[in-house]
Amino acid sequence: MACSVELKNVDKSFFTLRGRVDVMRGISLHIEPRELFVLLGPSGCGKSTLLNMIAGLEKPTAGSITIGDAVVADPGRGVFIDPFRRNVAMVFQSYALYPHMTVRANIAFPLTNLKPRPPAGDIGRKVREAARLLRIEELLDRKPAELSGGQRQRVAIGRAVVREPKVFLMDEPLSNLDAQLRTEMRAQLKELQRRLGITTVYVTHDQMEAMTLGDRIAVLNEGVIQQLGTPAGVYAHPSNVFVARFVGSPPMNLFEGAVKRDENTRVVLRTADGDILLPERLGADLVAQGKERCILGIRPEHIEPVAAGQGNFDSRISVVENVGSEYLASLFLKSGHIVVRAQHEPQPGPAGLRFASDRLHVFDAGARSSVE
Amino acid sequence: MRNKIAQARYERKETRDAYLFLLPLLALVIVFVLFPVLATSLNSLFRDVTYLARKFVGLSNYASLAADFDFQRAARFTCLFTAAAVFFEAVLGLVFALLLNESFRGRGLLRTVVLIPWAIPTIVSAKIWKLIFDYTYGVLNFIVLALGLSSEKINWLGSSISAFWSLVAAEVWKTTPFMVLILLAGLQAIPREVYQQAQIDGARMGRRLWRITLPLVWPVLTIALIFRTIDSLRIFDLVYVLTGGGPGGSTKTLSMLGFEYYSNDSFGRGSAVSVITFLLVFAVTIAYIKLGRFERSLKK
Amino acid sequence: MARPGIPEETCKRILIAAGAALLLVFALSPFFWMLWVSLTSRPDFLFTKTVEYTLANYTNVLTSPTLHFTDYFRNSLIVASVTAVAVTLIASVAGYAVSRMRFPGRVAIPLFVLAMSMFPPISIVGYLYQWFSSLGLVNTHAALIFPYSALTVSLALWINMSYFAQIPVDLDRAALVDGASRMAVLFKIVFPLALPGIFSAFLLVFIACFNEFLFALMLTIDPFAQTLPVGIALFEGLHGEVPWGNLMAASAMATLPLVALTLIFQKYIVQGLMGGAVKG
Repeated sequence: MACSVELKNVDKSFFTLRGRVDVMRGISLHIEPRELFVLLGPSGCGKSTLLNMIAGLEKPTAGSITIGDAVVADPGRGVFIDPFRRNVAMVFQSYALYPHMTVRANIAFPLTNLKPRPPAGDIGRKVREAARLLRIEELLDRKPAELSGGQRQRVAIGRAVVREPKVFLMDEPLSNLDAQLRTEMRAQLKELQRRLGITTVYVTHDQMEAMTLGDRIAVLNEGVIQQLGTPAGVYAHPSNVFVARFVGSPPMNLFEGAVKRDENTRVVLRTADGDILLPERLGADLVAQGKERCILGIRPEHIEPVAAGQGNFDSRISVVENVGSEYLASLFLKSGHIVVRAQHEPQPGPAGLRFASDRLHVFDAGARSSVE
Repeated sequence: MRNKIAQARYERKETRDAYLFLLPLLALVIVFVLFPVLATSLNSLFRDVTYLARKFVGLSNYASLAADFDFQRAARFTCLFTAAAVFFEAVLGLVFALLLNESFRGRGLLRTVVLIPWAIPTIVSAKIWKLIFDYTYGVLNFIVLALGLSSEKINWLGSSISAFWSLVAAEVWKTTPFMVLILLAGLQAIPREVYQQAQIDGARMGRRLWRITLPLVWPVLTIALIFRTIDSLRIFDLVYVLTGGGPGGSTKTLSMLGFEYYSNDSFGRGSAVSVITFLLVFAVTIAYIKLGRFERSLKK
Repeated sequence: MARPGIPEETCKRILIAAGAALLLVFALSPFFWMLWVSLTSRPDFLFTKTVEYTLANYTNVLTSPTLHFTDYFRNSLIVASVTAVAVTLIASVAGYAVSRMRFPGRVAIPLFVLAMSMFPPISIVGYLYQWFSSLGLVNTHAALIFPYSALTVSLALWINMSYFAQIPVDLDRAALVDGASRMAVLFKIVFPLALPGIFSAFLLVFIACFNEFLFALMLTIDPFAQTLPVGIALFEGLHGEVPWGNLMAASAMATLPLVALTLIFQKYIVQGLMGGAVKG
């Protein structure tokens, strides 16, 4: 039953009075059967549009979309399968429960649309099964207005699982829950997806959700896929500045500057906030490549606060926050807000920052993409 | 080539469905409104009298109307009547809407009661008002005599000036509820905090009304005025029953004049009057939109 | 406008009381005057100071074969009901398309329909009379139902649009993905949720048709097709003297169903008028 989803060179444009707006360019993805695939990006990046195109709620302008072995949209050949014939299920951020129907009728709704319509007994049995799976059996006769946010969420998922769709599409399904419930539902969702083994495309703007849920993630920005890979891979090797800043919390620290040699002929990055000493090999590589300007990136946990003069960079810690399990030290520099994550409480004031030399990321200053 | 066609079909499916859904509506409006209006416009250029051969006469129907005293009087009456009726409706409607926007005991009942004149068919209300103004039996004459305002009964519908104001009174009575409802909606859309802030800022009641309520309700008032003016300019039923256009044709409206021509089988002239009526309606609507800075409130 | 010394609250109370009294007298007195006259034997009771209450006016109106009250009433009921049902259906489907689908003209078409509703009836009725005469449609219910539908469909469309706009689009989309076709979405999701709005439109169209006069006067000829407003308007003239008692009884009977509808469904009517006017 599990199906793959394949997008080939998908473009999407809208035509408005002001002219053509390209919201999506050259999207190609292959989502494996049973995979939990996360589309991650800031709001307005086009991730929901992409999901809607898989669902059939929007039409691609060019390219093709295949679910299993059925081409569901291919404008070039005039193929477009209506959403109600695609046998996919979708969970919306707003849950989109039908307010005039009971929970039972909401969950049964996809089944009642099947042709031929299954016998009432079958529908009832499947609804009960779905309700048991999601532990909402006692809510079946209530209306959506009488449910809490978490319960509505469960009903929405129940409605999605009841007819065993080819693909689950989830559009920020957890964003309307409070933080605690979100963590719980996230784990349950993952467990449910594993158990049912249904290919899932999950859209979110929350990188934490993407990291914890996804088998693979695609980071989207401005209608273009920035990077595709496993969460760990994307985190460890962001392919450009956008991904580096977007994935990870607090985000990766960036310093932009010129590659120079200091008075001791060591290679440094000369930034507005002073020189940053580069590790020998990295420095040699950059010089060899003839790089003049670049962006240096390092995650907060890969910086160690040390005594001034002992690290790669001397600066001044402004604020230290205790976040429970660890400390976050903030430095307000001309380059921006730099955060250091430390296990032991650092002291505000002058400090040196030692960078883990194997965890430095270098991006091209012009193209803003990774330099390997 | 085949791909092009396929792609076009793919794009057009939703458009085609949408037009299918709109087809009955558009057919209805085009066949029974647009088409008759166009035919009327065309007809106004013909001599179309039932017992004579139809003949193209250009603008001569309009020319003869322009010189016609009956027409001039009807046009003047229609405009004056509309101006007076809409003005008093707006004032009274605003007063009642402000009242119903306050919270006091019995407000719910009053909000219901105010709808009654609206629910009464125009023809019925015209008859009621005809009886109120009636010379012999009318309650108005009874009141006038009882209060000693006049020593003898007054023939309200007998002079052109009192007939004018009788019509305005009946029209205002019937249509004020509409004004009240719309203005009340406008008033309720004003956030409470604005009033509380103004009160804290030391604005007294009159000033709050003048500086806060009226400016904020203005866009809604403009819309209500447009609707009421359009409606009033084409008035027929009330006048037809209450004064029958009298005395001496002094309260004939443009719609009544057109109706009279139609009734006398003079369709060309009737059409010309109709065309002038709707041109008047459009001109007034556009004037409102310009004066009311309506584009701005539309953009909001 | 409170002078120093008079608390604003007192001033406000006085104004409210005065306004409430004025509103009561304004809205109700003509209505009660109609009921009063309809229940008396002679309309000159104010001046003669002798009142005799009777139901004779009502029984006479209902039983007199020459007055055709029941015929008029039946015609009004048929014309208004058929029009209201047809218009509600047509405007609902159209409103759905306009508020939910993407196509060229989704902004222009509602505006076009609104503009069409601005034409004065007089600029339509003359041609319709000639056209319907040639078709033999004059003096039939259809002669009223078609133009009434065309004239009220704009109001219904705008009311529906304002209601459909309040229904989250996600519901439609969810239903589409759940396997419901467009028609199923319309009838299972959108219509049930917009029912209050559709009902408002139905009521307002019904009332408008029940009250319409000019078309009825021009396009119908005798009590087999004429509606109540025409019947009441042409009531006088048979015996010279206006039979005010009978006329007011007929008026009251024509009015009471509408007033009852309005009072019972006040909420829907008020919302409908708002939807059609303020948002339109």
